[in-house]
Amino acid sequence: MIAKLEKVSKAYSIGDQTLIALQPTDLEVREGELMLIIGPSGSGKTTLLSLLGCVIYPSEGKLWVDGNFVNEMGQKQLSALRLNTIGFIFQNFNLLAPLNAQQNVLMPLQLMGHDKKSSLVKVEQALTLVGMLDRKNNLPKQLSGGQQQRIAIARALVTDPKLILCDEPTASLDKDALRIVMTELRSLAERGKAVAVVTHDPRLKEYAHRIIEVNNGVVTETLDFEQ
Amino acid sequence: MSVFLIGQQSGIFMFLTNSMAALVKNNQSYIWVVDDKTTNVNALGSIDIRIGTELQSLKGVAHVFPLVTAGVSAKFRNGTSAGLTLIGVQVPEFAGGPWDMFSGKKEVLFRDGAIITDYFNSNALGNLAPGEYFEINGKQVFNAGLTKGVDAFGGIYAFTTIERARYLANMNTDKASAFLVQLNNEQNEQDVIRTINNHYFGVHAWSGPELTKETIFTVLATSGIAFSFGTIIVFALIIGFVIIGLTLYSSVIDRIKDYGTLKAIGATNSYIRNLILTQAMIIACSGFVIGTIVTEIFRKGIATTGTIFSYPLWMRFAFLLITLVIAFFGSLFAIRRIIRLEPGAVFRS
Ligand SMILES: Nc1ncnc2c1ncn2[C@@H]1O[C@H](COP(=O)(O)OP(=O)(O)OP(=O)(O)O)[C@@H](O)[C@H]1O
Ligand SMILES: [Mg+2]
Repeated sequence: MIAKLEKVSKAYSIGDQTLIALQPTDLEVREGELMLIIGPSGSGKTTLLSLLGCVIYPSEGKLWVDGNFVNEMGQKQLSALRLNTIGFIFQNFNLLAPLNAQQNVLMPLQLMGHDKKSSLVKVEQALTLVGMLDRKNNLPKQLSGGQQQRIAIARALVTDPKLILCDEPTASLDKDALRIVMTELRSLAERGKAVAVVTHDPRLKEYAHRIIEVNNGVVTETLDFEQ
Repeated sequence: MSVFLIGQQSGIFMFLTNSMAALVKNNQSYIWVVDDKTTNVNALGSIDIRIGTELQSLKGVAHVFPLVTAGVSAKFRNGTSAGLTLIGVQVPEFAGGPWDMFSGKKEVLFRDGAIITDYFNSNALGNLAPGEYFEINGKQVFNAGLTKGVDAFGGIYAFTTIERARYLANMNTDKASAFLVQLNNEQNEQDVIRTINNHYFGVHAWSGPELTKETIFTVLATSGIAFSFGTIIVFALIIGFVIIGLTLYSSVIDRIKDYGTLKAIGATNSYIRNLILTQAMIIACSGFVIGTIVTEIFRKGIATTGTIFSYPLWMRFAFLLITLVIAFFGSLFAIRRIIRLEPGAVFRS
């Protein structure tokens, strides 16, 4: 088990109003599974993912990620936790525009302070895994959406994180790119990573080991679906 | 641009402060004995010539040279006129000037009616040509030789012999404006100065550097020049601060998504702060190089009009330091913006 939520809720205050984005939720995220988080717009999917990603604190309840009690950790410790245990994949890829593919994938290792030589070996491996080694010198804008997302996956993988979090990873992709990316994510889960994917898209169900549904901040697990 | 403004203004400022005390500055090795009411070499009172004779007999004194300065008006052949500060020196020692001779020798002053003017002042002096005759206080004189770059603060210096200066300015022969005292042994300077100041009433002895400092200080304090240059430099600092601040801030805003991504994947605030500071330093250094080049061009350009100044090394370092400080403070806004950025914001775009 990589992450555990115990009665975790998240409320945002906008002016003098309080909006409960996530109702108290119990959830465990496990290695070896691709967990799909589906639900309508504004239902709280990203909020849930942000909690798992340690970029926001829970308002109530207890949150553990990789054995760390997140509620009581400082910003700096959380940065380190994110860097070391979590890989992020975003809807809009979020590659750093001025850096080429190789430099983008290198970035997390640089942040970790790894030496350049061994880092470059890992970067090559990660790029090979997503089949993008031949484009390592391209800038993000010289790549298609699917290719950029594969670079982003390589960036998320290069640190060998235990948990991979994806917010709408396929929303900017066409059918073929979607298949490549999802197959990649599923095989990562099958090799022992915990993968959580937020989506609107019911087509992704076929890649899931497990489906979580969020409605109006309420999380329910869907047990009957075809794999 | 700030660098240029600051450089330009402080260059001119230095030029002016240099010219403020030009007369002493170019005769630093003497002890200057002047009347005790002045602290400004541009406004000397008159002292009795007998003091000079007495000074001559002091222990350690080698020579005493009287010097006369007098404001006179000159009239030129093309009909224009101008005010001059006439400096009369004792010949053949020429203590007190002229300096920086450009054409002709100092010795031309032996010739009847000889005056030495400055090359860059020809315009102000009715396009006076070398050798040309003109009038001082109605008496005929001629332009016997030229200095180059002798600047008086807010006036024009012209050199002649002390006798001719007295004659042209209708000054009593028993008066002088200052005595320049040359010593047998430089080491006794402070002793001699002390002796003079203790025993002579109505005069004050200064070392050259002291009188230079005192003059600049007096002129600055009474003319408001320091204030106006100060204001311009302060503005330049503010401009630089705002420009660098805005440049960095807008570049940070342009790339806010990248910074958000960096924070989300685990970059700490201090990492990002260093990143922005590095950018600021790069901007500062390139700004410094460009500013220095432009200032250098300006300096070369203005030198042809006689406004000659140069920057000592410490000043260049000060400029660089100022630029870096500007960049540092300019980058603070940008850094603050990023530090406030929540890592969670990365999912909302
Ligand atoms: N930082 C915030 N401040 C205030 N309200 C927020 C904030 N983040 C999210 N919300 C609100 O919380 C609710 C859930 O948002 P969330 O982003 O989790 O939805 P979502 O399921 O990801 O929606 P979508 O499918 O459109 O991405 C929304 O009503 C949203 O307006
Ligand atoms: Mg969302």
